[in-house]
Amino acid sequence: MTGAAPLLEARDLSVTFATPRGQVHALDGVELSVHRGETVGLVGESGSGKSTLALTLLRAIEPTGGEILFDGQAIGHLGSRALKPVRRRLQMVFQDPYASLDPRMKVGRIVAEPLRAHAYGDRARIAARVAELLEQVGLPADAAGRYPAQFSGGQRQRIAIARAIALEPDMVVADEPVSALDVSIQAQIVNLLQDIQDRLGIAYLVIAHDLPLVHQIADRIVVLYLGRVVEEGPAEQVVARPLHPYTAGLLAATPTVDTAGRPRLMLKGDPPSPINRPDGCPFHPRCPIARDRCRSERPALVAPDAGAARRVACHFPGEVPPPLAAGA
Amino acid sequence: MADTNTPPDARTEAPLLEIRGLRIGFPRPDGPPLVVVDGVDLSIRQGEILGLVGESGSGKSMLALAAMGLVPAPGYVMAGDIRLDGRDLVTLSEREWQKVRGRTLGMVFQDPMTGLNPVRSVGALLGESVRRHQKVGPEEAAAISEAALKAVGIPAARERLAAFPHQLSGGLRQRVMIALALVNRPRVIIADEPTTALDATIQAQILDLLRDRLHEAGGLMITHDLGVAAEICDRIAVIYHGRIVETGRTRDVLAAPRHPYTAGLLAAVPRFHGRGTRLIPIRGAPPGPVSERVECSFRPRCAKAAPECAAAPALEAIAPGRSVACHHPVAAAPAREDAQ
Amino acid sequence: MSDTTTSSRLSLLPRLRLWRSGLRGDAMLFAGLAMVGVLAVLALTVGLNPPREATTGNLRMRFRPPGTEGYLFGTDQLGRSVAGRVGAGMIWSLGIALVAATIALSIGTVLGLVAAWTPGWPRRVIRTVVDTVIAFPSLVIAVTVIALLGRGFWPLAITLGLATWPIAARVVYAEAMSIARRDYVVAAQLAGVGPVTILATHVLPALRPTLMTMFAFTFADMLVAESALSFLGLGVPITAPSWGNMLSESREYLVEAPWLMLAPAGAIVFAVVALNLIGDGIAANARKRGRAAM
Repeated sequence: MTGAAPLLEARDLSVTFATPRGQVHALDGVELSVHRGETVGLVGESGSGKSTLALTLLRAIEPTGGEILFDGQAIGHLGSRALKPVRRRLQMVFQDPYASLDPRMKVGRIVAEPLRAHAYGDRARIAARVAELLEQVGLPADAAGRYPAQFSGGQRQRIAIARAIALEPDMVVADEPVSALDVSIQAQIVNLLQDIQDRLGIAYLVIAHDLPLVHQIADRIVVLYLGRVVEEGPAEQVVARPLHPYTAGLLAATPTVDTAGRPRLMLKGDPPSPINRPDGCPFHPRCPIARDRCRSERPALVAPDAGAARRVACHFPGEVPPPLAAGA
Repeated sequence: MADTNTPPDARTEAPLLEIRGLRIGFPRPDGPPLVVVDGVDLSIRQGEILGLVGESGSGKSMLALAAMGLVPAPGYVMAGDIRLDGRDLVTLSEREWQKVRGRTLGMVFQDPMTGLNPVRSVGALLGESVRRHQKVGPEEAAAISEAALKAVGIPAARERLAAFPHQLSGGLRQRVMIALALVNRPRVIIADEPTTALDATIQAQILDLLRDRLHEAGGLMITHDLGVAAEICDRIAVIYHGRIVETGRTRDVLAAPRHPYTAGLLAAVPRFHGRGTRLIPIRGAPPGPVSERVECSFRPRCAKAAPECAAAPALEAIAPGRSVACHHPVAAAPAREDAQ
Repeated sequence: MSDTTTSSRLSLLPRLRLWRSGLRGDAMLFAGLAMVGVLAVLALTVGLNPPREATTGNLRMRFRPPGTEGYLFGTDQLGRSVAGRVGAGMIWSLGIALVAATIALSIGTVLGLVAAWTPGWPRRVIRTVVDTVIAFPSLVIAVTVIALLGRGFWPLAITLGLATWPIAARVVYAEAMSIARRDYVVAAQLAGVGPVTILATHVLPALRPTLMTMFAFTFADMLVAESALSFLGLGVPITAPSWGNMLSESREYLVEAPWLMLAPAGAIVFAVVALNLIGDGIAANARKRGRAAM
C-alpha cells in the first residue's frame, strides 16, 4: 500500500477566510493522503479545521493554496463540469442525517439523485439499483416510497450511506457519521460502513472527535490542530505511543469505561481561535513540554526516524509518556 | 418497597434527594397519557454522585427536569414524590420552586449559552443569585461571586466578573454555569449532559471540576456517555424507555453488567483495546413512548428474550446495592478479573 | 431573516399575527380560504356584473340607511346602492392588489433566486438595485409613476408591483441563501447534480411555503396600499368605485351617513383578515412540519 500512489492527496492545502475580525487560516498547509481501500481517521477539536478540510477535499470550499490530487489528477481548481467525473468517484456522508436528506423528497428519489445526475440508466434500471442499494444498507424495500421523516436517525444515516455508495465510488468522506446517533445505534452504522468497505473496497476518510471510534475503524490516524496536521501514523501506533503532546493529551482526555480514574495528563486552556494563532508551534501555549524553541520556530511534519511510517510536527516528539501504557 | 439502590455503608444516612415511584406523562387527545418516566426510584446521599445513563428518549432528561420543577407543559407528574432533604417538592408552587432552584438545588445544563442570560455580566448573574437567596449586601455578594469563580478554576476571577457570557470560551462559560449552580452552596446539584457540547480536552477539565464540586454536596449527573459516567459517578442507574433497568456501584455495573441492555451498550462502544474486533450492536431501535406497558420494553431488541419477558420485570435487588429489572440477568462477573 | 413573512412599508395595518391567538394552522387556513372563496364568488358575480343601482344614481333615494328595502348597505349621496358599489369595487380593489402582488412576487422571486444562485456581478447588481429602490419612499415612487402614466387600473397595479418587488426579492434571496447552505443541498452538489436541477428539485419546493405566505401578505398589503392611494386621490379614476375612492368620498358625509365609510372599510378589513389567515395558516403549518422534521 505504501508504494502505490495515493488515491487522494492534499499537498500544502490552505484555506483562508476573510472575516470582519481578520483573516482566518482554517487550513494551513495540510498534508494528507488516502490510499485505495484504506480508512483514514481524521481527529481534531472544534476549530481544528477538520470539517473545512472535508468540504475542501470535496471541492465544496475553494482552496486558497496548495493542490488536491485525486488518482493523480489535480482537482483543486477544476470547474464544475470537469469535476463531474470526479464527483462520481468521490462521495460524502454527512454528520446529521436529519439535515442531509431533503424532507420533501421520497427516499427512493434521494438515493436515485446521484444515479440520475450521472445518467446511470433508464427509469427501471435506476429503480432496480435503488432497491438493491436499500437492501444493501439494511432497509426494507418499501422504504423507497416513504419520506425521511418516517425513519429513525440510524435508518436515515443508512439512507445517506446508500446515496453515497450508489455509484460505487472509490472513496467516501464521512464527517462524524455516527456522532448524532444514539450509542446503541452507532455500532450498527460502524459495522455497516465496514461491511461496505469489505465488499466494495471503498477508501474512507472518517472525520471524528471520538478517538476510540477512530481507533476502531481506521488504518491510519491523522491529528489536526489549528488547521495543521500535527501527527500521522498507523492507528495502533498513534494510540499506543503518541509522539505529539497534543495527541497524548487528547487520548488522556477521552473518557472511556476502561480507563476511568487513571492519572491524567490534563491539557490546560482552550484551543485558540484560528484568527489569532500563536507564533512558533501553534500548540505551545497549551503544551506541557514547551520550550523556547517552540515559541519561535514552527516544527515541520516529518518522520521521527528514517523509514518510520509515522510523521509528527514537534521539536521534541515522544517526550510525553504514553498515557495508556499503564492501563492496557 | 425495599431500598434497593443504597450502598450498605450509607444505609444509615437519610438521602438528600429521594425520588419514589415517579411517573411523568404527556396527555394526548385520543387516549390515556403517554408515560415517559414510569415508576422511577432514585436516591442520592451526601457526598455521592449518581449517574443517570440513558439514550435519547429514555426519559432521563425529563426526570431531571421533574427534579427541578421544570417539566415542560403539557407534561405533568402523574404520581410519585420527589423529596429534597425530606421536603416534598412535587406539590410546590412555582413561587416556592424559585426559592428552591439556585438555593438548595443547583443546576447545570448542556448548553451554557442558553443557561446564561446573555445581557447580564457574569458578576451580575452571580450577584443576583446570591442576593436573591442570601441576606447579604452588594459588596459581600461580589466577594461571594468572586470566590465562586475561583472555586471553579477561573483565572483572574475579579476581572471576569465584568465579562458577558458571549465573551467567554465554551469551557469558561460552562465553568461560569457551574459557579452559578454552586454559589449558594446547594445541597444537591443536577447536571444534565454538562460536557456533551464541549471538546475532549475541555470536557476532561470540566469533568475533573464536577467530580470535586459535586462530591461536596450530592450530585445527579445525566449523561448518555458511559465513559463520562465512569469518570465521575459513584453509582449509576441505567434508564431505558422510562424505567431504571439496572443500578449499582459504577465499577460493578461496568465491569459486570447484569441487564442485557447495559451489557449491550458496553459491547457497542468502541474501546482502545478492542481494535480489530467488530463492535456488537444492539439490534433495532428504542421504542417510542407508550401509555401502558405490558412486556419488558427491551424484549424486541434482547438476544435473551424468553416467554416470561411478556410480563415487564420489576427492579429487584440481586446483591447489596445492586438491582436489575430482568427475568434473565446476564451471568455475574466472569471469574477472570480485569488487570488493574 | 428566514421568517416567512414580509412587510411592505405601504401597509397601514400592523401584521395581524393571528397565529399567536393559538389557532391551529389548518383552522386558520380553512377560515381564510372560505372567506377568500366568498370574495371570489362575489367578485365573479356582482363584481363583473354590477347591478344598475350601483352605477346609476337615483336622487330620490339619497342617504337611505342600511336595511332599506333593496339596499342592503343603504345608499350614497347620489342614491346609488352602497352594497352594489362595494361589489363593483372588488374588481378595482382586489384586482389591482392581485395584479400588483403577482408582479411584485414574480420579479422578486426571479431576481432573488438569480442573486442567490449566481455569486459575482449578477448578485452585486441585483443587491444594489434592491437597496436603491428600497431606499426611496414608496409613496414618492408611486406619485411619480402615476404622474407619468396617468391614473387607472393598470398604472396603479404596475406602480404598486414595481414599488414592492425589492422586498420580495430580499426575502427570497435570504431564504434561498439559507436553503443553499443546508446539508441536503450541499449533498446534491457533491453528488454531481447540476445547479438548475438543484434549484428545481430542492430549493423551489423548500421555498414554496415562504412564497405562498408572502403572496397572501403582499396581496393584503397591496389592497391596503391601493385604498390608501385612492383615498389620497392618487389612485384609480375618481369615478371608479374602488374601496379607497369610496372611503375618500365618505369623508364628507361621515356624520349623517357613516355607512358610506363602514361598508368599504368592512370589506377591506374582511379581505385583509382573510389573506392574513391564509398567510399565517401556511406559515404555522410550515413551522409545524419543520418541527416534526426535527
